[in-house]
Amino acid sequence: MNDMLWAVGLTIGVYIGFYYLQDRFKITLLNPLLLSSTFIIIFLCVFHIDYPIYQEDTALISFFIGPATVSLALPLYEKLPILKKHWQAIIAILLIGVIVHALTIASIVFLLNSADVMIATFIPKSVTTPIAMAISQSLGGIEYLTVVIVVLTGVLGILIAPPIFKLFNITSPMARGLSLGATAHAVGTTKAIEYGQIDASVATLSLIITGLLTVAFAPLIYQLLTMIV
Amino acid sequence: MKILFQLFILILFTVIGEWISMLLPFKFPGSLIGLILLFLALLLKVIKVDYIKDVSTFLQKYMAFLFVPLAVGLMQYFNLIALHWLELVLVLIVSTTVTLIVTSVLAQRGIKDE
Repeated sequence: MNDMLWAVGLTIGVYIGFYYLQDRFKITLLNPLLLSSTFIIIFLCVFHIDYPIYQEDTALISFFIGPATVSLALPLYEKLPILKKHWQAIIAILLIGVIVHALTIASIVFLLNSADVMIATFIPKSVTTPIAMAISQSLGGIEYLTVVIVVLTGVLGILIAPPIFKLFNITSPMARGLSLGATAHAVGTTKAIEYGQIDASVATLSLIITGLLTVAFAPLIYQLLTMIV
Repeated sequence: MKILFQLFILILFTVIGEWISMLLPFKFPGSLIGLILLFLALLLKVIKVDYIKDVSTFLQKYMAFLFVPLAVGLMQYFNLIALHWLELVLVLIVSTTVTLIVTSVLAQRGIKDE
């Protein structure tokens, strides 16, 4: 029997199941990526299948991550008019966001006296998964852990966003979209869609720019931080 | 042929990105170089939106699915998580909350919509 058939089939089937579960109950925590991977981990453990075997048999799925990342050029291009109007403010705010994000991570890693490799793993956590994975790889982090943390960050981000917006009186669609995209990447975009059209466009723009800024500045920030920590 | 053509364009830019990434003296993700090149190609009208629209929309819609196999890879790192769970939880909560507050407050004050 072809092993690729069952591995890819199982992955698609499980994902469809959890996708409809979330669609039915509309609960953020029922994230399909989170639940599907947990289910498959349990499945592989129960049947004593090693990860490298599953990884090789699902290479077809992972192959599409590259082209999918490249395709993000399209929404960036389509949302260009919004960027043109406010580009200085948007880039300044997102850059501050990226730096503040890295600083809070480094402080915690420092306070807990942990390893540099954890900073490399955590720094890309607020950007969209393909970009985060690429950054984690190039900084020498643990990419598998990065992927999971990115997803958890997204889910947490949209759980805490509504109370935070209320508490800090955030009412502008630009502010909601920008912060959702900057903290909770693509998951944040799904929340922004619920708020409105402008929120959604700004969130898409924000997640891509945050990703690019993180790629550009993460190595520098990482070097500075590991020198201090 | 439309879908195959669109997929071909996206793979082409991915390959070019990876290729440039290998030639660079420093580390920079190839897929990001591909993204930037495709964006420039769209700006310069070398590539039309129609050349990539359907496959791009499809891939972005199922982006999360593409990461299932990678997320499963976490099973190799259970020891590491057991060792670092406290900082994982702290980093997750603190940095996400702080970044959300900082960016939303700055944008609320700094960007005025007409």
